[in-house]
Amino acid sequence: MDQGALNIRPEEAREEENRRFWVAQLVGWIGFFALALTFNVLRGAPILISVASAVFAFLSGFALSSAYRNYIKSKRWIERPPFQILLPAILGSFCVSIVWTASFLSFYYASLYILNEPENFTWSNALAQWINTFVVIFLWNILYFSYHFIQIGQASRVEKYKLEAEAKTAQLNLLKAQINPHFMFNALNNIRALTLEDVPRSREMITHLSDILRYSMNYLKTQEVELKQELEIVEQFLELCDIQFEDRLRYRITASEESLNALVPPMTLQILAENSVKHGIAHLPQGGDVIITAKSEDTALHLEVKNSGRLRSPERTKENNGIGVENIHRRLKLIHGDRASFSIRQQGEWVIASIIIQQKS
Amino acid sequence: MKALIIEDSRLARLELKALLEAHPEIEILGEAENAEVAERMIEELDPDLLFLDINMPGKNGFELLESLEIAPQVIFTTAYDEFAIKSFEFNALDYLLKPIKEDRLAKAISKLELRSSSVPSNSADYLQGDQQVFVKDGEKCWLVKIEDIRSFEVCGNYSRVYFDQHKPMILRSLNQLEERLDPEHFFRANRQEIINLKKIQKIEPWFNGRLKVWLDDQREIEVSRRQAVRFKELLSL
Repeated sequence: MDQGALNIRPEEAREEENRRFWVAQLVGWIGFFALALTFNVLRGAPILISVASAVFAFLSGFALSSAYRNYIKSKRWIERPPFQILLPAILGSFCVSIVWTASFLSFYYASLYILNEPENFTWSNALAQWINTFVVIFLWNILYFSYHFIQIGQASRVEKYKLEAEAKTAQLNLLKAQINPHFMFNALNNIRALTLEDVPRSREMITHLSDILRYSMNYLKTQEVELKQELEIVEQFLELCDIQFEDRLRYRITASEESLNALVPPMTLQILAENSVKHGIAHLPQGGDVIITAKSEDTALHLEVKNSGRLRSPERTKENNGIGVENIHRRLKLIHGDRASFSIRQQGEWVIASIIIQQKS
Repeated sequence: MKALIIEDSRLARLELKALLEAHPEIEILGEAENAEVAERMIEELDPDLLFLDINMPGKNGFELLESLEIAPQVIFTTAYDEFAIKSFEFNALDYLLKPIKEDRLAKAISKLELRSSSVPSNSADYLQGDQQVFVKDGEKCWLVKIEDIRSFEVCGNYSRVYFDQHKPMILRSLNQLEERLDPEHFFRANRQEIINLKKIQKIEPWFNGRLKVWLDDQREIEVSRRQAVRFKELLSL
């Protein structure tokens, strides 16, 4: 997308709009003047009268429509939906054309009188004159508003693209936030070393890493996955952490049979497991435990990720794992509304993250 | 050159050792899996070089260096750490990203200074001019040679270290520093300051028997009356 085109400053845009209006206004009314003059001459009116009345019609039309535009702008008509403008536009045209007709007729009869060629006022003449001016003014309205609607349409399309782009960026950020680069590069480094001492295991670790990367890249496409799928990824992740931490990491995953088919937002347990390792185990010189439990009780799915360590103060939580945790909150809320709850708390020597999802009956 | 590997992951240590096989000039004295073990080994083995992981449980790599009185030469290793890498942009401190590339390691090793391994034993009590201290100030960090330091200044429990155009702080009192600095090179000018004699540009007598000294960064420092006597003796004025 052309960024430059979007970044015109509002006052510049307004000036440009103004310039365009006055050019169109002038050109339009000069055109009208030419038509009126031609018409008057063809009608056989004296040349002086023809010119004078065309000039007067040009000037008064120009002035009245300019004043009318100011009124439209002050009432912000173009911000209304199109069908709500139709009636005011007709009314507006009516008023403007009445004033215009009145002033034109006054001028016309007055000048004839001055030139000693008085003509009698007739209502039919006045009516014909008014219909003409009404058509002209209504045409002016159509041109004025359709120009603005085309402009607004374009602007809103641009706005739409902008929003789409922003949503994409947000999604990308989400994605980026999920693959912890520290984990990834450490894993690659460890696998590289593992090839020196245990080739089959290093090969296995490469497949684990690919699985995790694939899962974390695809997860935005699905709203929910079966718990067993998620747990499989978590297990592979913990196995990879095991080659980094070795004796320092002890982990256990227990899931009841009936919970395995329950649906969870993908990357939920994964993010929590990652946090457990990153903020818990990695800081403990003697290492610690990560215990993951899933069970179905009554009509609710209970998930728990528990690790040795201390919960960080809110500010540090925000800067370190805020994105991941926030992301879990948002997705649970989006899918389950009030039926899901999510909390992280300190209990003794443990940090416990728990999710409870009430199953739909 | 005697080196120590400080890194919590055993496999990462194995990897680094494998890479260092191509560099026989680097002799690996030992490996430490955390800062606590590392501190002991540094004391015992007096390495010339540390391969130091930044992210470790307990004290991290920076904190380990700050706790050392004298820092050996250091090559940092890190998997990914935007914040830490930023702090290297201010000076020549080298770092390697894991997985480490062979040629990048070779380059880091070639940049090391080959220090004369024989430290005169009679003056071993004092910090030597070519020994360095690690200083960290917010996002920036430096390894500064003692001889490059212009002066130290009291700042509560801390001391401010002046070198180049920087003046970061270290957690050591001026008295602690005075004890460890060679009196032939560093002089306690007054209660607040210790100055490097080699960085003096100009000396002028001041009133009340005091002296005024200009350092090569144009900073003026007053030598107290009591110290002025010793100062003159020292410089045999």
